[in-house]
Amino acid sequence: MTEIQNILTIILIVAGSFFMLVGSIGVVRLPDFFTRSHATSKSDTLGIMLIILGLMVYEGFCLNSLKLLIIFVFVAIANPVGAHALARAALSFGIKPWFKKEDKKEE
Amino acid sequence: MKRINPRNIVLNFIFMMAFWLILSGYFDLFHISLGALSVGSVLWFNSKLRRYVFFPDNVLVKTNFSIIRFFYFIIFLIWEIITSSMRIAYLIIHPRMPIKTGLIKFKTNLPNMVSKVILGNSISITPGTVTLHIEGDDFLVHSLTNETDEAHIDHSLAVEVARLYKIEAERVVCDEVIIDSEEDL
Amino acid sequence: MESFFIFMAIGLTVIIIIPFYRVIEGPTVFDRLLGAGAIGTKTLVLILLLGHLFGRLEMFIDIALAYSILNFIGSLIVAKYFSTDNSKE
Repeated sequence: MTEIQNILTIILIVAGSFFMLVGSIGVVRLPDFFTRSHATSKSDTLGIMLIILGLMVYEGFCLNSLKLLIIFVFVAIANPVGAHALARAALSFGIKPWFKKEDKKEE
Repeated sequence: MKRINPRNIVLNFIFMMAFWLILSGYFDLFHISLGALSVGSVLWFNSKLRRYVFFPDNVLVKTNFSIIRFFYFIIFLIWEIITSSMRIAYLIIHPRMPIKTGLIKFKTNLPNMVSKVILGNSISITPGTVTLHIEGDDFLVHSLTNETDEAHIDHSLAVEVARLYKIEAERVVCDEVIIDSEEDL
Repeated sequence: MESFFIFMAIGLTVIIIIPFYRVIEGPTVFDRLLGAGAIGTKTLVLILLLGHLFGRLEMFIDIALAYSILNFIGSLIVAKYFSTDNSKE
């Protein structure tokens, strides 16, 4: 039983850190603010959710797992709201979105 | 000002009490009575806020929310989150980053404010779209990949949100405008 | 299993360092805020892993919950401040 738990935990945590790594790279690599907010609102959310799920599997069924479930639900609600608030503020501040140029190649 | 449903207060009390029990972790009489005291005082502080009408359409439209649909919606949403993150990961890791950004503007006919909040939030965590602005019935959405099936995904999400409120409509989203260059802005 | 958690915590620290580039270099204020928010949400997970390593997970979960709430409210307030700055349309 504990072997299965350990293997499941390792798989979930490695997958979660992969998605968080992708979110970090996306924040650096993508071309403008609005596209960067995609990276933080989606990849990071899935990464955090996977890692918390892995810790829940490792803990088994106890009070700590319930508390982790609260953090899970809170992150799933709060992260897109934060991204939306920042993007809306940027739009009303007057930041223009970036569009791909059709004729000349981007580097 | 609106009437308070006493069932709501009881439900709220039970919910906050469960929250207290999970967070405190002690189940003896002293801590439970402390929790009941603090939950009661929070309900008393909020009694004025509870009677305030934030959005005028809260009282006009009578809605019926189905719980079973809500669980189905959560499973649907988790599946959407997983696939969308896969797509975003593919786009970011790809060496040339084949993204083509654009703004989509559309109208919905969802019944009330809460459903619009649910739709906006779930648009933000599903494939390639972030909600930028909601005003009345108009949504402004920034999309990362401007493909043909993008509008289809938005449609299915909005139809699911409408089904939460037991509305069977095939045209929830209408008047879509896609802005993908500087001049149309 | 303990060594796996230590290894993942070190890896997460490296992942957290990457968005600092955007915080330092970002062209606009919002890019810096976005980088700071990304760092905050990742630190939440690092706190959980550290709590597991110290063997006091029940205490560190409370810290992580408070940390995530503070991060969320801070980002909302800053967004509100900047959106009222130039809101004539």
